[in-house]
Amino acid sequence: MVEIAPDKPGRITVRGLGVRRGETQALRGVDLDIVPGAMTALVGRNGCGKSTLLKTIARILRPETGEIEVDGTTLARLSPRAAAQRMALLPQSPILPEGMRVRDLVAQGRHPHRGLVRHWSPEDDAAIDAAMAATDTVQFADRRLEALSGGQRQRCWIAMTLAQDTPILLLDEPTTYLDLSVQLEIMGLLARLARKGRTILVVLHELNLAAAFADRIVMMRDGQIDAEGPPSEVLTAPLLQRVFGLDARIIADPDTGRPVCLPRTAA
Amino acid sequence: MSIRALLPVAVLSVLLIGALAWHLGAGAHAVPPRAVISALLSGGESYDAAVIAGIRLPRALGAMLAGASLSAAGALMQGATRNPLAEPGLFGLLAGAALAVVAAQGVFGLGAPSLVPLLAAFGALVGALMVWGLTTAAGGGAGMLTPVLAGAAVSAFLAALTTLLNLVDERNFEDLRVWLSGSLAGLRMPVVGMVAPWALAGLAAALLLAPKLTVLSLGDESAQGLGVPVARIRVLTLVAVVVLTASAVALAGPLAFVGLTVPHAARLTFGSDYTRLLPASIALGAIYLLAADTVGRTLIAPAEISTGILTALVGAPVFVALLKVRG
Amino acid sequence: MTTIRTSAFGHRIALEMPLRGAALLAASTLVICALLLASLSLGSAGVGFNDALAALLGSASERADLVAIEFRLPRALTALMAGGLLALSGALLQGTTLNPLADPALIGVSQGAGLAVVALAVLLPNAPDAWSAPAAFGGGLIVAVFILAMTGARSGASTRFLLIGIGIAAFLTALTTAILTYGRISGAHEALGWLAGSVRSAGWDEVRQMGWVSVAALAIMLLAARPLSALRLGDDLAASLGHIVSRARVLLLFGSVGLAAASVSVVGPITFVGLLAPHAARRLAPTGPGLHLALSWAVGACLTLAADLAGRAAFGAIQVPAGLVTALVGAPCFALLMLRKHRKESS
Repeated sequence: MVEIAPDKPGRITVRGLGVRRGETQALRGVDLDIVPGAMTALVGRNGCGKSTLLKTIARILRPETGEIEVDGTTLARLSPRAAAQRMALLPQSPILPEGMRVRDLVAQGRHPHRGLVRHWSPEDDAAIDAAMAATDTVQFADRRLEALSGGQRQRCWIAMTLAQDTPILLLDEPTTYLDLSVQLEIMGLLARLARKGRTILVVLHELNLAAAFADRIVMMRDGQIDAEGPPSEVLTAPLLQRVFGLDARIIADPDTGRPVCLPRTAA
Repeated sequence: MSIRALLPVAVLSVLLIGALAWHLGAGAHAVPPRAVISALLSGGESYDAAVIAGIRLPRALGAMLAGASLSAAGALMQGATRNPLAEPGLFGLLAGAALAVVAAQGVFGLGAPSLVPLLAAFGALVGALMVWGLTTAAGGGAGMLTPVLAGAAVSAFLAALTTLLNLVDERNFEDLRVWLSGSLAGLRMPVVGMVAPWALAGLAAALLLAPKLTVLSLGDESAQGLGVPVARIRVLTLVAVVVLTASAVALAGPLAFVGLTVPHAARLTFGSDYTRLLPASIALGAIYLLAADTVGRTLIAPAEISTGILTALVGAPVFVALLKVRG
Repeated sequence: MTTIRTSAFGHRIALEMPLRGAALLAASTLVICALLLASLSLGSAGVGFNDALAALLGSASERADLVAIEFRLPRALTALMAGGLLALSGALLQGTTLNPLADPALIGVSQGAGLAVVALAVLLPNAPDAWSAPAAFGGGLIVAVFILAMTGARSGASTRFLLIGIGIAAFLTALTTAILTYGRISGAHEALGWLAGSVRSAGWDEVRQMGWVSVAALAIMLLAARPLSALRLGDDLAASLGHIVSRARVLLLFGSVGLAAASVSVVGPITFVGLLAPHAARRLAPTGPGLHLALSWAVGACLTLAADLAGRAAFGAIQVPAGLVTALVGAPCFALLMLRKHRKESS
């Protein structure tokens, strides 16, 4: 019996990517296939190039060599608008716009779908409503962004990227500076979105969050991919030693069976 | 003292004497060097001697004092605030001094030249305190931007008042408009003699404060740890800056950018140790304004280019370059 | 929040506006009308309120007609439009630099335009009056291009943008003051008045000139709203939303400079309106970039009109230029804004 490949949109293909940031070579020849309709976590030490990779895919940084394809189309050939219809980005610490209402913020995500003198359409309203429902932010609609807590704000930003209505979602450390319970809430939200068919690529600092929620993990070291695969295959003691210089045991979560990384702390 | 330490002193002295000789000799009526020396040493009744002693010498002395004072004021401010852009012009002192002089002459009829240094000192103090207060209240002591913004706002406010007074009183404006642009033209010996003690006292104070400023450049907490009374040094510096600025304004009007240009030029060769930087700034400031004034008098003689134009033309690129380097 | 929406051609053209914004726009229109009427009737030559109204309707006495329609109306209209342009310019500048303290008169754009006009008057005393507008425009533009070239178009450079601008402004002010000393005293005094920002000599020619620029400003307002609101979210996010950030920023800055220079070329450098009007507008209606621009325009128009009126009528025989009134009122407001910004950042 022939297995039919899932024809989901949102496939990202990276070939021979090299990026230079100032004096340093941040990425050296990265090849990577991002599986569509799943959550992929990018992990690695500080300065390993994980944020650089995400920003290059998001067209914030320009590659020196190599190319990126989205669903078979070279990214560089797409207009900014067309690219913005395919993927949305949530930067690490977005600027907090003074006095902006939550619904207005979410509405910003509709920009790539709007015309020069078409400031709204019924589809816009539907997309905004759906994005706010999915992130449970409807009750904040008329509040100002700065009046919300860190976790609530983060959900609003995610709602904005959802309103952009793209098959691909890129997030740069969306859980940093949040309480642990809020971190779990945000990751759970992203996992649900992935199950509904979005391709999610997220840079994470916290290994165990990646292990608990991501479908695939990409480990980076010195601007290159070191390992790539499901958490159970990638999160192994030797790999952690190599990539993070970390002496750790891997145990299985008794509830989910997913791997949990337990650094050795005994002196 | 080693040769190494004496060399800069010698170079600066030669430059200063050269600039002075050039200033005295050159101009609409050129005077040969020998006549300059004989006029200075023995006086005399000749036309040359009259030009030198009556017109050029006071002007040269005024240029030296004003240049030295503004440069020292700028260096002091940069040291006390640790802000490379600190300068009497950008930080509101010149606008305050100008307003005080214009208001006193126009509104209260206090036109006596002997009052000008006092009035300028009062105005400069008010301007400085406004900028300082606003900067502190806005919590921007550390950054470069907040004090400059405060300076711009205060200067705009004070300048608007000055303009208002000038518009109301056209005669007063006519008397003062050359002075307001920053110019040494028409400076006479009695005025120089009156301002000189103030300027010299300010310069002496600046030199005494220099070692403390070097310690202050390590940060307030380190300075406190090293036993420097930070707050008292700041207040003393403010007094010195006000006196120096007022002397310069009384001599040459509000000259922008001198306090920025000269200390930074001095920094290039003398480093940021204020015990070396301040004397160097004082000498370079005197040379700089002598040269600027000579160029202004000779370039399109018999007409003059106002000193304020020249110092602004030189100062603005320095300002931009500073931001380029630091940004 | 209730909104008013209109659309045509199957949503190909669709605009929306919060109800409160529409109400505020209507209210500011009323304030403008009231200020206009006051401008027509107040002043040294007494024209009653009724006479002014009658003059507008074309049924007044010859003298009232002359004073109100030939002298005061063009002056008031010019002040109104110049203020609106400055406010719009300031709103664009604040939006692109992400710095709430940016103002065309703070960063040297107005001073560049001013220097160009003064230099023209001193160097070419016989040049026709019509040259001064393009000269001002050129002067302002050169300053803006220079600052942009020195800082680049990224938002991170906004501190340097402001600092360089302030330095340039100080430089140009020094040059302008010095150049004034070369002119004849009468010319210098007149130039001093213009440099203080005055609509005193405005006639119907100036009104026409400002009118055309205002039409252009309306187009800029419609086109600039969306890129402006995206830039508020930061460069990265704006780029991922499909905006071409550096191009948008450069175009917005040019728009801002163009509007400021056009205004300065007619009425001289009026300070702080470009700074305060956008803030006041944000206080009145905190959201929606398009509405914010429109409200900024209205507030700027009111401010300048009121400043001209106050300078003309409040001090008896002395005519204080509108620009001095705005500077004397604006500088303390600027200081308050600095304090507020600090409180916000430290909390």
